[in-house]
Amino acid sequence: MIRRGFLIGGAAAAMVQVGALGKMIWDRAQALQSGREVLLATGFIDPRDLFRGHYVTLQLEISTLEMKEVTVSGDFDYGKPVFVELQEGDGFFATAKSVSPTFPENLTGPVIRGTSEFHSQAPVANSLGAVAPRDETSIRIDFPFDRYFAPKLEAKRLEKLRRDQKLGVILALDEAGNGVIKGITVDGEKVYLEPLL
Amino acid sequence: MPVFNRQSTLRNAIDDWRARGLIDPATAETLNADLANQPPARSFQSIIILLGVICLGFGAVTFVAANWEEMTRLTRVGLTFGTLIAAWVAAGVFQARGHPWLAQSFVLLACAFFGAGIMLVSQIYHIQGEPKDATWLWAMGTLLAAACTASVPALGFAVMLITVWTFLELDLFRNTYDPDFAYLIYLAICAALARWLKSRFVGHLILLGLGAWTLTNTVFYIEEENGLFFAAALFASFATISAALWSEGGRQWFLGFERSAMIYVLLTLGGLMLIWYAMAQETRPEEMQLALTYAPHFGVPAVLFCTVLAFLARSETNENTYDLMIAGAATLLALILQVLARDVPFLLEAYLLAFTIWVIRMGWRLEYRPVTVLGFIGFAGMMMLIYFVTIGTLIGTAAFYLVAGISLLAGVFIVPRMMRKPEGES
Repeated sequence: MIRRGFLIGGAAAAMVQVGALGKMIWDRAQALQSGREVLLATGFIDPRDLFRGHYVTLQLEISTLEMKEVTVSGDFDYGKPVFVELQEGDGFFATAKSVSPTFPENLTGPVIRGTSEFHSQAPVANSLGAVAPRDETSIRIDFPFDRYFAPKLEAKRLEKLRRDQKLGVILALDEAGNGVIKGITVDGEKVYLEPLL
Repeated sequence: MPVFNRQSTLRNAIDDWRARGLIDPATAETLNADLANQPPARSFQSIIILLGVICLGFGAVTFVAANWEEMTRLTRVGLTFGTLIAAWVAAGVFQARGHPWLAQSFVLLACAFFGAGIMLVSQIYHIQGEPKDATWLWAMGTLLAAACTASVPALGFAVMLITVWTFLELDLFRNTYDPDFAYLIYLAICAALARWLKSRFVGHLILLGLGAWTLTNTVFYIEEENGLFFAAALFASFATISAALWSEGGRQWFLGFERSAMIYVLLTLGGLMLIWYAMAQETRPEEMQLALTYAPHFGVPAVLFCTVLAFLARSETNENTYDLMIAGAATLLALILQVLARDVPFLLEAYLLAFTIWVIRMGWRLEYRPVTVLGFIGFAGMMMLIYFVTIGTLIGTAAFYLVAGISLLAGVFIVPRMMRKPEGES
């Protein structure tokens, strides 16, 4: 009886664990297939190690935003969620339109979710109704796309990139602002696309 | 009780009893013969098999790592799933063949592979999320495995993962920390499983994690100028000591683990009292005021709870009735001192010193040395703390020590005379 209980319980636990891993892969595949595609500019963290070691450290340019260039609303605190609404930029890449601590309403573009790396409180209007600007001049946001593991052959090919070429990352975003890396572009041209599986 | 690993101790004890005439030679021979017939919990062969399997496992992992880059993505995924399924199949095979210990080892291995699988799948498919979420998933999968297979190793591993999960975002430099009260729910589930599996080892892990969580949260909330958690933790600790004493002296709902539990609760309570002492100093009046605000909310229910248990113990002739009454009195005094500590000098120091003496006595009455040792350490710590803080002046500190010493010595001689019963019990 004890053995049968162990075997049944073990089979159930095994199925749940295998299922959990399978769901991770499935959710990613779903996001790649049906997510909204955006192209974001990314900088190089360490130019000496561009694509060396088969992975590159990404730093999205929207990780640091100037207050005067975007619409900022609400209170922000370290480690809390941040939502950035995107818009089409002048060149290849999407740019940030607004930043808020809650999911924005009345959307006109895709939204990407990150984590706040700064603390800022919304300024309060004085007795005359005037609102002073925030103390901070820039916003720092941490996005969960800081590293890209390129396949070995691709990594070797991309090692030959010149520093003045513009690297971009294609993201597939779901409705909640979560994203997965779909591919890499150089000067707007897709050089690598993630396979579904 | 498994006696294989205690043979020499028991053999020496049997020889000692025979030498002192407590047992006759025939009984001693019977006991020795029974001892010789006790089978070992596991054979040495199975230990060697396990070590060999571990070496093979390391070899396989290293081989895979050396060739990881050359593998296609699907091969990597296949390997990840394959190792996980293989570990579970091995666990089932060993259990079916009557090797439960090996089966448990492979359950633990499967849980380790599950965690590795989460990380490898994330790396293969560039799934980048919060480490805290990945740890939570790993912990829940391991907890489920422990519950489904009644596995003590997996349950211990789950408790460790859940504790890591709750502390994962603690950043001392930025002072960022989001206390997660779901930790208590998970620990309660683990405690229920530990009780079902009768695992003292997991019980120790749970209480260790709970103590660390309690003290960390107390410090965090006080830094945030919130005294509610401190008040709740302080009086909950008193209530827990009373509950442990009542259970230990009566039906032992936790199968004798109450004594070990008291060590952790006393350690936590000691940490809370140190925090209380620090707040009561002149330098931190705001925090003390904060704690004072919430003291009655938790102190009054705690005093009532301890009092009820003390009366129940008295009516049931519980072995720990005396200590339960002292615990109730200590809780009541703690509540009163929340108000008086800053206004009346020496009072808090005297209370804390008396508390450590009670812990020493409690350990002596329970015949449980770790509690006694803890009491002595607490007493020594309080004496040093009082010396370094220096109550008012050095003369004041000297007077305090003098009064404390005289009180203790007087108590040793006077109290037994007052408590002496006709039977001569001391």
